Amino acid sequence: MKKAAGIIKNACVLLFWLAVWQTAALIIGRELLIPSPLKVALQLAEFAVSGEFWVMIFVSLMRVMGGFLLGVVSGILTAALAFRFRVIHALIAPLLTVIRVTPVASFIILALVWMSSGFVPIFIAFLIVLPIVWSGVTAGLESVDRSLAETAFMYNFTRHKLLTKLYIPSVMPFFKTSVINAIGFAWKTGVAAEVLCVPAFSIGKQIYEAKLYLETVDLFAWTAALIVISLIIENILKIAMRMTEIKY
Amino acid sequence: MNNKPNIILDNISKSFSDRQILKEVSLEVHSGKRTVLLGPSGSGKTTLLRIIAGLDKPDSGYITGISRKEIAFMFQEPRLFPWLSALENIACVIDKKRAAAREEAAAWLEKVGLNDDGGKYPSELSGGMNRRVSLARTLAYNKPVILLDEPFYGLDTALKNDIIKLVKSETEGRTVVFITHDTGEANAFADKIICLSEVNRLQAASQAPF
Repeated sequence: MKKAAGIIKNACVLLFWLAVWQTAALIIGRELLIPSPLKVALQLAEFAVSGEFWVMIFVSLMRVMGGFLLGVVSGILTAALAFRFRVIHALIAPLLTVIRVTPVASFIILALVWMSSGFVPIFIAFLIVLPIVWSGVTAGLESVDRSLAETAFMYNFTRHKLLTKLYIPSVMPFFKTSVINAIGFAWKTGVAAEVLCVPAFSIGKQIYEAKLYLETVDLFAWTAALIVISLIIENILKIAMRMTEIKY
Repeated sequence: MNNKPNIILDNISKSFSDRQILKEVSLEVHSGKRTVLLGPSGSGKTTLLRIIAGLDKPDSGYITGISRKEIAFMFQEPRLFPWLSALENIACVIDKKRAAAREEAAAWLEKVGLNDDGGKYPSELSGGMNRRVSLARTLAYNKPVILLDEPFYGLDTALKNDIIKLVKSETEGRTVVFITHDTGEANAFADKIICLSEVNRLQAASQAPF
């Protein structure tokens, strides 16, 4: 019952914004500036029946996911090392702060100088995810209850037990939040990198070309596809996280 | 026959910041016996137990006859892992294969009267129940020296008597140091009672008549 009410509420919100969009399109009356939602939906449907569309989505997704996974693994490892060795923390923390505050466009341009265009989205997704996951895992490690750590010490926990019974459960909530945040950023910045470096078989290249040839309907359709994919990924991740949740 | 040496504390002093807690405390804990450290709140009982356990270092003085690896310690607070069930909290300190450890943990839960609560998390148990799980975990750790910090605190009288009987039978022949401020508990449990105010020169001095 509650679930059905939620679905109806979300549908109403969606319909409201579609109505706003349609009204804006009617008032402006120029497809070049704002195409109607129906036109965009039809374009998206036309894309969806072509195999090329799915190939481009798959390749873009693989690039971003590659960078995302690399960032997650590196974030965990560097946070663990920095927690264990304060000197590593002192060295890494400012570097990650610099990465976090630097405009992503600067990194994209730099990466384009350093590597071939196909690798740039991977590198950018990695660069965006690393500090987010690092911060989450570091906060989790620093939040480990000292009295529980002392208890584990008193009971002579092995390294394996320390990890599975103390550190991983303590860090998990922080890690999950950071990963869910990171995936959205990775997707957005990864595609932004594709737009700037236009690698073959990429969503970014299609968006760039749509902009170049003033194909606003295509641009909206690709953007809609990006939003849908982003929502799907985020929800899959949330479900996966919920499945590993311990209720206590 | 217990061949372990007695635990000897020689001139132990300890301060935190500017506050001295223990001053030249000397005492002997007999191997294989139950010794109670009795004293009011703030008399340094927990500090002394932590020093015996090797969790705190004394500012001066020595301890002989014990190593940390032969100690099972029950803290004043239950200190259960919140993400583990009562059963898992006990099983995780038992050095056996998973199934055997869980079986033994279930037996310990039965002994402390919590046989139906093994699957519950600490947040689902009352304070007294959590203390019983913590006590069961300490006993299940199966070490020759057992240090208990107010283990019966918060238990109602009938249950307390049962648990005291259980701890006495399960620790037979092992060295137990138990701290309390309750003389009734001390009398029911101890082979030997040491009043901390008598061995702690700091308090002995403050209690001396003018």
